[in-house]
Amino acid sequence: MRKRNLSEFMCIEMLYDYKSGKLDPLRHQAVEEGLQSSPRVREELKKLSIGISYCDKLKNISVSEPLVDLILDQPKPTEKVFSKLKWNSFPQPVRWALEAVVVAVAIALFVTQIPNLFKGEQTEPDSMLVKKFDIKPPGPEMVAETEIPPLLKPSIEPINPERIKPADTKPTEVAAVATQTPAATPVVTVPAAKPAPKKGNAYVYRMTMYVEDVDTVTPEIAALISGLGGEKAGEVELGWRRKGGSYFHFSVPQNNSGTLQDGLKKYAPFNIIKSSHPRIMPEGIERYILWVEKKNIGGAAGPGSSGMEDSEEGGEGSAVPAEDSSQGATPENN
Amino acid sequence: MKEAQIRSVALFFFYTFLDKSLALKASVEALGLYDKRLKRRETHGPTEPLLVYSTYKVWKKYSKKRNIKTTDFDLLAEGWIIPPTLKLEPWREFVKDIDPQLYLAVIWSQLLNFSDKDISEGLGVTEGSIRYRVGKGLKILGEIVPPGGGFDA
Repeated sequence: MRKRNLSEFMCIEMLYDYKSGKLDPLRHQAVEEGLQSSPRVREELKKLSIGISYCDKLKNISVSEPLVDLILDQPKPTEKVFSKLKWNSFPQPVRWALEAVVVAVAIALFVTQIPNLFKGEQTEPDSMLVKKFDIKPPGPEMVAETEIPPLLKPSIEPINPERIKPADTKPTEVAAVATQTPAATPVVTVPAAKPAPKKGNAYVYRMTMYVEDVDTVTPEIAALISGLGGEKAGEVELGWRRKGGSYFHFSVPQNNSGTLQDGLKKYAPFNIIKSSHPRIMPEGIERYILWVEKKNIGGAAGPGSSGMEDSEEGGEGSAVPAEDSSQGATPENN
Repeated sequence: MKEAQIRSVALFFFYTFLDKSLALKASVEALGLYDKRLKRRETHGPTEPLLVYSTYKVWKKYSKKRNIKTTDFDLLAEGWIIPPTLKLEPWREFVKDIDPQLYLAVIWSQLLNFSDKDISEGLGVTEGSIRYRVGKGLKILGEIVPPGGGFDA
């Protein structure tokens, strides 16, 4: 084998392996040659030997049997935690406080939960509560319901078939809603307090005219109204004769209102009052109530002397069908 | 757990910390970690690498907080039996001043007689690295130790 030549640095680095006998023969021989030739390598070997000899002396430190037993008897970390959490290890005030908290929580749970256990399946109040806030915005059916006076509802049923027009379907819906309303929850009726914005004319023109010859004027006025597209708005015919005068309850197109009033002026001057009324007329249609009364020369006659309002509101002339009751279910006739 | 392993661990921490209370506390923890790892281990091989690993892990933990309060145990005076003629000042200076990797290697290799292979496996380094650290550590220790050899005459 070829002989190895090691530098001084390499010899110093291999001294531990040389001292511990782990070098191969060639390197061992090369380190020995380095030791002979280099005093620095010898100095390093001396330090190494002192260190090893000191470590040999340190090995004399031993562990006693009691220490080994002490280490073996040491509790594990988990055992330490459990031992600290033992009930008896807590101070007395802490134990009292914990007991009080447990009792308070138990009582609170008992008071709050036990009634629910006895109720069983009675969970509907919660669902009712949800419905209570499920308020829909007022629809057309609700508007119709609010607009119909409750006192007039019984008159819905005797509808005259002749007055029902094929194109009109709304009255049927209104009647259906009116009958279905009791089945709904009471909360649903709450939005009825907020009426929908009214469309059309919620008013009536009340006119009073005094003429000398009622019998002559009445058919002429009826013809004038019919000629202007007017129709009777109640159940009585135009110019229905009553004691002391004639009663006209009719509707005309709005664009003919001026012509109608001009035509009536030919017979006599008249008073006209526009008063509000719960019944809503369609757009472009106006409703009139005209009372033509015989004029007394002596001046005893005057407005309301023969009771036009009576016939309107069902007072003395209760035999006369009121315009409201006759059309409550058929506003389309207006 | 063998008694020899307990002694090795107790000596390791005594050499490193030179504090009996801290050494006992660290020994208990290191042996607990050793037991834990030993149960998880699937192969049956030498236990020394595992012991090196456990002691090194706990040493790293405790070396960062050397000032921790260590009065939990009523340590027996005769826990570590030190020859009366032995001087610990060179070793104390050695542990205090040099790179910990050097004196740890010296402890495992020269004082606890673990093989270089076991040490390298426990630390995850090569055997050459261990031999280099041991050689360098011994030379430094030889410089520190006085001519008397660390023994009182």
